[in-house]
Amino acid sequence: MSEELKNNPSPEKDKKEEVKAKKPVEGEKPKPAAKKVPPKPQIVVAPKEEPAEDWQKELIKKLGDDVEEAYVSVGEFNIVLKNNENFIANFENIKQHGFDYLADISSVDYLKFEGAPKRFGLSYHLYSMNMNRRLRVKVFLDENEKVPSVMDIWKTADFHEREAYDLMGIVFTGRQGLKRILLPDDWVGHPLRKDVDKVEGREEYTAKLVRKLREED
Amino acid sequence: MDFTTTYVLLPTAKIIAVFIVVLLTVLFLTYAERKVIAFMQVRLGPMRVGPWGLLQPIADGIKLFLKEDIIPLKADRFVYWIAPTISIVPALLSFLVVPWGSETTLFGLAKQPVPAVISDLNIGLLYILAISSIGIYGILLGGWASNSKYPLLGGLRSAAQMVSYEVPLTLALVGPVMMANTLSTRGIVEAQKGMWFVVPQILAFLVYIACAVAETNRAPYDLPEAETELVAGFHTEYSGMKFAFFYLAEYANMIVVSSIATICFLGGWLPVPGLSFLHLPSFVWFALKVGVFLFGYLWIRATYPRYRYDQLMAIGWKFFIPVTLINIFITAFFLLK
Amino acid sequence: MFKREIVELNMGPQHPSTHGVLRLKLKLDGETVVDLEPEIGYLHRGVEKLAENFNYLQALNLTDRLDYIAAVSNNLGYIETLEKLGGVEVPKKAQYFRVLLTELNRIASHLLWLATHALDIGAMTVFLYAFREREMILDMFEMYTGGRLLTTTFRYGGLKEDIPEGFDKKVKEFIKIFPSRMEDYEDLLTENRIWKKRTVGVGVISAEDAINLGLSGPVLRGSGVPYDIRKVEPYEVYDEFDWEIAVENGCDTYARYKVRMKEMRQSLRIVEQALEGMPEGEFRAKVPKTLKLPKGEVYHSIEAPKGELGYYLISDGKGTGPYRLKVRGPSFVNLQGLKPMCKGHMVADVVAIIGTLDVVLGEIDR
Repeated sequence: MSEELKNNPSPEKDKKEEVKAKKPVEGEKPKPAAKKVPPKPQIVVAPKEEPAEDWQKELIKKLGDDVEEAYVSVGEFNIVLKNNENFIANFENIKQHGFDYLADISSVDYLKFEGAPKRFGLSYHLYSMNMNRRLRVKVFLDENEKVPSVMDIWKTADFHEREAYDLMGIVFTGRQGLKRILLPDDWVGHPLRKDVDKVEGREEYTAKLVRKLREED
Repeated sequence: MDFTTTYVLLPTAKIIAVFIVVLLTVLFLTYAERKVIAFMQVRLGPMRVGPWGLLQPIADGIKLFLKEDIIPLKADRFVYWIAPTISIVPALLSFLVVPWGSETTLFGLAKQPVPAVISDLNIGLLYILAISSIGIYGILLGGWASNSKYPLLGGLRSAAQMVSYEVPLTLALVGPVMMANTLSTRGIVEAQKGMWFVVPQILAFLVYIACAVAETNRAPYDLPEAETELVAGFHTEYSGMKFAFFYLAEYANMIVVSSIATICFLGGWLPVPGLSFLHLPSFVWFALKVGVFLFGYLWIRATYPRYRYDQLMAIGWKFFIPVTLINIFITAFFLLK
Repeated sequence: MFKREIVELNMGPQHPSTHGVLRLKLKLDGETVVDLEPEIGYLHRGVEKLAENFNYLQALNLTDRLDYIAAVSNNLGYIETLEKLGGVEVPKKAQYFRVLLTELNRIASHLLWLATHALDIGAMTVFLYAFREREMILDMFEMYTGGRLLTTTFRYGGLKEDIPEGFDKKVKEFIKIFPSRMEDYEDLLTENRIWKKRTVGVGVISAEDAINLGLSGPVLRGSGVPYDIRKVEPYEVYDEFDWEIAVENGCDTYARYKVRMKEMRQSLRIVEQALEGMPEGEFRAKVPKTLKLPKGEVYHSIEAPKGELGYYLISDGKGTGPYRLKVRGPSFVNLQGLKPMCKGHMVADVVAIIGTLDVVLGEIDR
């Protein structure tokens, strides 16, 4: 801890950390322990702990070699999965482990993020109704790398995957009806990407739209 | 009385009087509706135009007159144009046989009192029922001619609804007709001098009220124009004066069915038993009774949610029609005895 | 002899009861819904992209505009997400007041739902009754934040400012009046034959399907799943109050109606307790002026009036704003329940089901 404190960016932050919180979190969960940013670049998340609880170890063991990394950060249990042929089977395993509720699928563009292994990341936020536990499954993707859809396991994935495709341009395989959800069908580019300014064809699209509106007038 | 007075002057005067009164009532019924419902809903209603917003209906009328009349490109222009007319004309024609009082001199125009009805047809009730069912075509054609999906659905709903509610409505009126032994509207009222038909015909009365609400497309049976489902139903595409015609027709129909209820069940212009010492003119009694019904309309609208289309049809065919038939049998049984 | 034809009906984005700019493509056989597809995005403002260009406090303003009916809940979820990553302890007084405001907001949100849901089904008087009480809550919000709809209430580490004088009086007045007003609504609806006919057995969804579809909030609890984040993963000081999760087993629109009615009563209980037990002390913890969060990621969800509202925040440890902010809007996910609920019902039921899902398009389209 002391070494980490040395690396504090500002004294103010130090003070804040002293009155650090113990927020009311469920009994089974590890207490949130927000540590300082370590000096060397990490893969993604800075404050990490080893998963300590039995169910976490069990789950890691069950998924076997497909787990790239597993850690606890800010009280949240993360599993980084490999995007391989076992992807769907792993999720089925996880569901059988009790995580029956898929809360969210978030897509992230790590283009300008230091220390990220690949360009994109997908985070599956899972919750178990019976055990009252949360789990985040992460998978990292290269540009143009496709990922299997989990829609057969959780129907709720439909909108989430369509959104990730629409705004981030991540392609999900093995599912029907992967089309834009929020933006018009003929939109050019994926706006949540960090390099969206460099998308080709945006000007033409806008010009076309303006022309169309003028004609309607 | 000479020929001109009897056959030209008096009827014309009556027609003009009735027409003006009906139109004024319709105008201020819209005002009353807004006010009454507003008070039930803890708000004030129209307040800006004139004192307490009394001139609001006139302002609305002027607005509707001056509005641009939009006809959709794909509409069937002739049918689209004629539909509102088909809707309003029968509604106004129905007042031909509505007796608004016992006898009148029309403010001294007639030398001796004449019956306070434009024409005392001996088939008066049948005439009203026949002519009011023409009004359905206005709505149906209006919905179809707009060539748009929401009006079409509204038109279909209204066709189904009005056709199926016409049956129990008519059957409910058979009871009073049997007891009065006449179809003349004046005759029916005069037959109630001893006892109002609402007492022996209570079943028919209740069914009639329910069906009348459905027949005039009012809440909770306002499916053809259910604004939260079909936007505005059959008159979605209508604007300006054509829309106003539909609007007027609806309110005129409300007055018609309220008048029929008054005539057939509440003793028309006869004073309320026990209150005859008030010596009110007969048309005041009539207006008061019609007013009670109209108030009931507004009250219901402020209270109940809307039925669903299939549920509405189900209660019409499976409940109201059997009840009215049973009522006819009971009436016949007692009359024969 | 007769040819059956499937009619395609376009409902919305301009329609009185699609609650904003929801567009449904309905396939109708007569008036029966054969198929339906929601089209969304008409209100897309790119909140998530905007947040990446703002600092943490500025992004708070964006959260107001997600579910604009329940801005306080959105603020709370976002601020708690920041606090979870930053690890700051919020003073007790601030926590109590946060709970109080959020529960008032829940009541306001449910009142708006009740108003519009009843209006959609045709009971127009309830609409104005419910708005009358909602007005009282909005007045309280105005008193504290200056805003009635978009409140931007809380701040990192506590509250924006201390509780104003006379606020408790207003809350007390509301607590006194509201139960009798609740009875007014229930008199008009709960045992009303037409209301029951329109809601019982409409939009049925089983508990398994609801969980699989990711539904949350009253929609899920109406199917008998006692999942309320305030209870299962208590945040703020919810575990200090005495209240129950509102659950119904009907799985239909009527059950969801009852869940929300119960929930308003429970919320009032919490408001009452929060007001009574309001501790003295600081309203904000000592926090730096410019907020910088350590490198990391965090997902935090709260029970918003519509369901599970989650924020997924990634901080790169360098900037003063989020690197990525993903919002898990409950309405967005709940909207997926529309299709399975509507199939086989009539057009009039579609309207009732949209009402019972209680979607807000600001949150769906983001």
